[in-house]
Amino acid sequence: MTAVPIDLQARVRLAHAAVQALAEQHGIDLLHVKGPALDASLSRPDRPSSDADVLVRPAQVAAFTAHLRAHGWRLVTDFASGSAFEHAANYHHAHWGYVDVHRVFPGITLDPGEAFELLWSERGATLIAHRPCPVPGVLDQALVLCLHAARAMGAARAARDLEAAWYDGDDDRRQVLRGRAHELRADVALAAALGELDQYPDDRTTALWRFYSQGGSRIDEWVARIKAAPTRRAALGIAVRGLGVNREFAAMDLGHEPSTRELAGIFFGRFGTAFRLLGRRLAGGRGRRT
Amino acid sequence: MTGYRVAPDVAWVEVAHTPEPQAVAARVPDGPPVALHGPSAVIWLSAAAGGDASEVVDRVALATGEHPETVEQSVLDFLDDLVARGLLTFGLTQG
Repeated sequence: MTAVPIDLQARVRLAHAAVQALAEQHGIDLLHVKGPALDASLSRPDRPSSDADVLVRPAQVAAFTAHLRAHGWRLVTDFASGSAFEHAANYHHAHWGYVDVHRVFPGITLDPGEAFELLWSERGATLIAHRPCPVPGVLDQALVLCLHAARAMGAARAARDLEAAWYDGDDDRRQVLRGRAHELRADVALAAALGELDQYPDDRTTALWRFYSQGGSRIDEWVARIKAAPTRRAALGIAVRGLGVNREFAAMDLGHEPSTRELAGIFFGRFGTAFRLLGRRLAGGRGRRT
Repeated sequence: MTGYRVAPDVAWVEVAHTPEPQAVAARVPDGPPVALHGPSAVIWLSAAAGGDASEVVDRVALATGEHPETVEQSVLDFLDDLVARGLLTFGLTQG
């Protein structure tokens, strides 16, 4: 019975159920988001998932990830190296595949604990793999899709999500969504999704959201991340890390644990690329200004 | 009445869009997942709906177009296996 491969979409659903069971065993609050957790009004049959996404109560993230490791989940990318927002860590399990453990949603700038409590207070439940799983309210699910679309660089899938989450609704619903975004301090990210970033010319994160919603060069991203840093110290850290090499991503690219020589090669290659792009920017070339 | 039901710590999925019935069932959070194809998936889906042995046998017979007596022993053996794996329970059920 076990010698056949398991369908990916079935495995993603079982991953949701597995982490939910773990959360229940240990009194962890988490919300299942995206993929099979989506409300039918926002979901499409052609929207396959490759991993399970959960948002964990921030104060319980450390405890939850410890339980994950104790139950055979292996860390793939940690929060610091996962994305510019440092919002999620990725784990893999031999049976269940991948789960993204979110501690925040990129775009929501309210204190993470307060934001979770707001989302938790409006939660519903949906059956995934015949197990009841807590999910954000439908309106919050729509907002999360919008915020996710805001960093998809115009991908077709994100455009379809935005259609279902925003444009298919009426004006009243859109007004409520804007209100919820304001409550969660996600106005700028929502503006990025809707092409309204010009309304926020002075926000320190505008350049970053412009990059994530519209695309750009690595230099654009680097500059935008530095601008978006909340403190000078954080900006300096980003400036330095921007040239560093993420060992976990390098391992995924290479298909094996990178050697010191391989890491050095990637570093100097990136260094050269950065200066070539910077040169183009200074010469008024193709690099898009932020 | 006595009958079969999915064990309380089991998650399961019926796989969509496949030429023959498929399902995957697992105890959570640790597994392992058990992939069920063809007749084994038919038996699982029939048992997951609940009921006693004869009800499950009748559902399998209906789904496969076989006579109940033809499939009975195979169905009962497989139900025993699913119970042994902790995927089904057999005992008193409500109703």
